[in-house]
Amino acid sequence: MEEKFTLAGISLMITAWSLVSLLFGYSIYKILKGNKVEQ
Amino acid sequence: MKERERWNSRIGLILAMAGNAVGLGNFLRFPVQAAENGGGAFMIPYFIAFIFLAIPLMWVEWSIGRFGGRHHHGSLPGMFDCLWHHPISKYLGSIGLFVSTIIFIYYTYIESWTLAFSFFSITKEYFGYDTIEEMRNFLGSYQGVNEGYFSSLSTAYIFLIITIVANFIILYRGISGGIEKFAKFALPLLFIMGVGLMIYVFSIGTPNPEFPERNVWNGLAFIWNPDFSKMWDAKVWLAAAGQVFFTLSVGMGTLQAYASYLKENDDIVLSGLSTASINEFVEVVIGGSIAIPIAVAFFGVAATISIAEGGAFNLGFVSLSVIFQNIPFGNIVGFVWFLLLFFAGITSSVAMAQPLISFLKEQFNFSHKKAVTVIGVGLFICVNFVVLFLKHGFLDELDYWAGTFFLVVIALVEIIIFAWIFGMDKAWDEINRGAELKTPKLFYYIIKYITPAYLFVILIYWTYQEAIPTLLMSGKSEVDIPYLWGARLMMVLILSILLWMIYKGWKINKFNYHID
Repeated sequence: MEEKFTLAGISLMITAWSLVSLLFGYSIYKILKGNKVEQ
Repeated sequence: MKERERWNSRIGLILAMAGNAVGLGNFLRFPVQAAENGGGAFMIPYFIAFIFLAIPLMWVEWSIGRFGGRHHHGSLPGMFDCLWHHPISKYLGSIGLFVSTIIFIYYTYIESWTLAFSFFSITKEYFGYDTIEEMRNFLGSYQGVNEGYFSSLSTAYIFLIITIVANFIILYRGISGGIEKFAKFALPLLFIMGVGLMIYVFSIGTPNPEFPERNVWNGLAFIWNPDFSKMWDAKVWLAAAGQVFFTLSVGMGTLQAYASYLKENDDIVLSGLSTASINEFVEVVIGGSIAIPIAVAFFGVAATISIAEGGAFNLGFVSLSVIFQNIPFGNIVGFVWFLLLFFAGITSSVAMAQPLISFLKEQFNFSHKKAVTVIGVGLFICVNFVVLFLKHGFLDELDYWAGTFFLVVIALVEIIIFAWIFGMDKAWDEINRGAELKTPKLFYYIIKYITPAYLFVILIYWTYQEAIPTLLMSGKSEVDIPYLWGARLMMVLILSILLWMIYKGWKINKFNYHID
């Protein structure tokens, strides 16, 4: 029943963590930069 | 008209919005859903739903809120009325008030359990109840579901009253003085506690050398190892959409209420994205790394599956409380875990009261304190039914209709009103007003076509799969049925009162909008 971490599992976990961390970091960076976009 | 209150700072607004979104679901519901629906493979439909459902709805709700605030409305009836000048629109908005009010009633009680268990952890009250069955009995006696450690509901009431008072102290102080200040303190603390617990869980490794396969890494493997065969199962896609939907607190009217306190040209694109990203980080990285990995490390995968099948509270309250008795400094770890859940809960519950507070102030000219007091008294009366009839499924009935089904109804109604009746071109301009991030044009089409279609499919599927059997009370015991009817009667009464108040409110105010 117990299942070892597979390469696919590790890859998916790292990818998901990286994606949300990037999104988090990017939005915080943009807020700190704080420039209005020309409409 | 009185000048509306405003958020003091952008970071305060984002933290309050994130506090609204981050709730018990991030720590309890997400890992269970991921593990049950294909592990890592679940994350593919999850991220697709995040892009096509969550982000667009986030922007739509922020836009509707800011637009409504410009016209002195902080709740959905007024907001819908501004967007669509039709006599029925304000009554459609009543569902938003109804949902947030009902959830506020039962969520406050659940929140009080987390505070109680935080106290029971630090005082080692449940220590000695060291099997799942004993711990379930302890929780059940606290809730009045069965006989056991607690002989009455008095302890549950004490923590409920403390929780209600805490909520109302924050609400009394208003948007910037209460909710914003609290979010600035609670969210960073929640984040620190979450990361601290995650590091602690990772440090546990293999707690029992006799069972080397029971370790934290196998717990992570349980959540993340992909079962790609499940990718072809429509249920997995719907579960992912449901999780994304619930986690961001869309469809409740709370995001709109908070956004109504924005200024006309305040950015919403970047702020909305930041809120969603904070919530996702807490859910995917922190939420997925605590409850399930530690449960697998102590009980193994097979037992964890059965625990998870027993529901999120079985995992979060029962199993983890057993584990806390078997780890170093378990009482402190348990205290931090339940306090984390309490902060996640209270930052959400104060948001749930906000639409009704705004409604009373704006439609009936109540002072802020009067509105909060009236809601406090109403909450205390209604929550008694939830406390006393918990064992008969009263809370579950409220949760299904207000906390599940009608959320999707609101989301679908609001996106149709915003993108199709108000008009997608005007809606797009509204979203991008004051934007600090250029919104990809692709989202114009996603908001107009894909998100409503996505919601429509979810609604049809859930109606067929769950709403009809729930409505017919399939599989419910004869003993519980009168109480379930009681829950329905309470919901119908609250909705009727809200509809009547909307009718009266509009008669008093005779709104005349100048829509730009």
